[in-house]
Amino acid sequence: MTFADVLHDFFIVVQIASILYFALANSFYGITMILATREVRRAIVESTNEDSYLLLGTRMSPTITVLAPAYNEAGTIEESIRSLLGLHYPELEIIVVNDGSKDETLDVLRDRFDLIPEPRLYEPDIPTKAVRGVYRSRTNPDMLVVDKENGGKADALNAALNLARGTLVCAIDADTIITPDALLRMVRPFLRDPKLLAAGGTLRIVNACVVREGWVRESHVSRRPLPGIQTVEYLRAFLFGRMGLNPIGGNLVISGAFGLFRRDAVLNTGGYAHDSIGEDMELVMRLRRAGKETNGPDRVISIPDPVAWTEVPSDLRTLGKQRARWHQGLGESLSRHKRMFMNPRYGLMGTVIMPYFTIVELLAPVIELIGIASILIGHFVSNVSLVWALWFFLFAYAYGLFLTLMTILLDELTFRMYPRIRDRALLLLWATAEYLGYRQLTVYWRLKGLIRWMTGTGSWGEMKRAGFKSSTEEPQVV
Amino acid sequence: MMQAQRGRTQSQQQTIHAFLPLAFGVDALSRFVRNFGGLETTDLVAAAVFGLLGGCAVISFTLFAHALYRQRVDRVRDNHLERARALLAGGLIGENSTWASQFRKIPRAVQHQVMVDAGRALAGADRDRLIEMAGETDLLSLAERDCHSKLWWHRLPAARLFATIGGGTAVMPSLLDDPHRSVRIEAIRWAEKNPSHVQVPSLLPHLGSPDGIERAVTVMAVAAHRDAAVAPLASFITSQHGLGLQAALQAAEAIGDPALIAPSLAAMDDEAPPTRQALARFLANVASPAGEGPLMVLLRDQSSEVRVSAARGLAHLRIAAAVPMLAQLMADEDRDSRHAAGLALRAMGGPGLLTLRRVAHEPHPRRSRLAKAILRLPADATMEAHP
Repeated sequence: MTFADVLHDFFIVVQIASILYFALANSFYGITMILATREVRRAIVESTNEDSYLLLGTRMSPTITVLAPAYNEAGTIEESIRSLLGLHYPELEIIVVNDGSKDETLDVLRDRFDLIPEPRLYEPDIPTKAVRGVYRSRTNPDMLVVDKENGGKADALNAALNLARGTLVCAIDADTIITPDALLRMVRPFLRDPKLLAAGGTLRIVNACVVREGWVRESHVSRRPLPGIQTVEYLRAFLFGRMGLNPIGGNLVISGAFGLFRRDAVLNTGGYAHDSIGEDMELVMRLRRAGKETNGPDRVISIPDPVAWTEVPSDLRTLGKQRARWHQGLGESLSRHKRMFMNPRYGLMGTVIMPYFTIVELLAPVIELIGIASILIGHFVSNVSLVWALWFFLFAYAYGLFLTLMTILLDELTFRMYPRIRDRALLLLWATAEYLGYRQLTVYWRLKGLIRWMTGTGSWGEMKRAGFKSSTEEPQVV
Repeated sequence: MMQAQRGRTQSQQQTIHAFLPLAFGVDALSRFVRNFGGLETTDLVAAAVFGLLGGCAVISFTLFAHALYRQRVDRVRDNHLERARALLAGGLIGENSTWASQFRKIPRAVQHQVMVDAGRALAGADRDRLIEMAGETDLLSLAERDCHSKLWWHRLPAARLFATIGGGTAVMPSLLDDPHRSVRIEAIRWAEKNPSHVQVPSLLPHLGSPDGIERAVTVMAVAAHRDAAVAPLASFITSQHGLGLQAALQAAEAIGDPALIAPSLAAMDDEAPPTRQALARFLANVASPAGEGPLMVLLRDQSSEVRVSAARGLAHLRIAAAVPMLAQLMADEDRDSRHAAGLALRAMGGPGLLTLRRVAHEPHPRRSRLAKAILRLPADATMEAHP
């Protein structure tokens, strides 16, 4: 047996392994598609039959504290906060954290919302950078502003958590636009299920939408390729990816842009991790793990209602950074909680979901790269047929397109968030274009993230700001 | 091309046999794939590709067909809605005397929607006029008929109409036991607005519903009955535990009758902390000497939420006898309990403040630091967002 034979057989094995991987991953996607359709239908029937404003008239709705961290947001903070103040919910507290902004964020808040100092007993459960002061708005008494030294998003969220009084806390990004009845929709599953730990809402892309006075007035799909393709991606991820994972308890991610959590559970597990680059995912995994270990609440669900709008990067550089960071965060979160991997003690989360996220999500770029490389190298050093490879690529493309179009159809039959025909045509165009270049770019960015996680490089310097004041033993008035 | 591929396939199979034990499995798989149905692999893949692309074409067609259909439906519906609103407004202010005959010609789903929207926005005499108008258009009699329908999607809009604008006294009480959850909730909402037409015992079972929204709506409906609810609620409380008892205590808190204290005390031993917390809130709200002792017992509860509620309740009632226990609670492991105790002492005035000053100079570091911090707060400081 010659070296060439061995090499040839090696490539055959690699290719067949790639096909098996492809079949496994796509079977999972197919199953989640079916589960998601059922789940979305159920949610739609429930929400159309039920008046979401019912809760406004009751005194039993749990108090919600909205945590809104802000860093150098002087230009947009007023509009963002006005949108939060317009949320329909009976028991609402809003805590805006000025995370040591270098611009006029605090001055804008002071000026527009008539802030006065609010002396507060401050004995943090979670250590954070020093809090310089707490203010209350005279025009909107349910709104508090925390002014603190800069410590990053996780630190700002923890500072707000330390002051929050709500049974539930809602973490948002300052640039997220929330629909007025979002909290009423999000809180419903908590009233039905005492074992529910957290709920995530469906995010839509705001880039091409018409926004006035803090609300999205008209929803459109962007004509520019990058935001347009991301619109398709978000639709697929939220409407079918996460909804499909609901029935099997597979949700490990709640977007940092909008999620509702039980405050006591978050505090008991130590809040947001300061040293994590994917603090959203890490928190959810930690909460679920603690829930399983203590036999407490451990369910995390995603709701299909489009409740929040967020802006996505419209240039390759920013998008690349974002995707690399997400993948780095995924690797880091999975590695922190590797104890759950294939561990039957954690039920389906340990035996199915963790392996799925590791093999299909985390390692996907590596496997895709190996598959492509083996075909190309195999063609030159052995007799691997390029025709066969081309058919295989076409199959992958057609299957991916099929799933994406099913998601778009699902949206059309349920929420119809893009009512104009032109927007649907754009969705189809971007769904078709996604696999022609964009997908390959995401493989590259995710690989970069994977390498950064493995080598411990990236933006860790920024995240590793240490020196938190250990003030849990020292109550103070701020 | 095909022959060349077949040739390659044969040579691949021969070499795979000689490669590794793993290769046997791989070989079997590849042979299965290659020989499936007597077709070449590429033929199979090509068939799958064309099948999927055909599926994509069908989905795209459905997408646009549905979009066009819905656009048309929405346009027609918007026109109906606009017309119905105009007719209703004309009828309300008495400008249009023939509005009823025109309104009847509009699809009933739209009539329902416009009436429900108007019902939410109107009150007093305008609401009464709206009920009259609904009667003039036969909407009420048709809704009554729908309430008897076997189909829940017929019963639901009818129940929602009555729950929003009123009327339906003959049919709505029977919907309290409807098998469909949403219909039941509308019937309970109706009962809240029409307490004289519903017996409290028919509402009480809903307090034990596993559905939080149904419980929440029922609490409000029971509370709306005020004095009439006290006796049945008292007997209901004694027979309940868990969620049902918790909701019953919330209703008791809203009513605030001291007669409910005695039966409620059974909740002191309930396993669920939220139930004991609801008891603490009820006792604080009812403000009766009979509740002071139990509140002090709850101050030693194993759940921090219950301790916090008890401390706030004692502060609200200004019970001086609780001062030593509150001072002790200032050393609690739980932050919220410590704070609630310290702030309760501060809220009590004289004896509480004296105790805080004494604690501030004690050797116990945690308690003294907390007491000093509380004493430093300005007198008008609002301590809690949600006391």
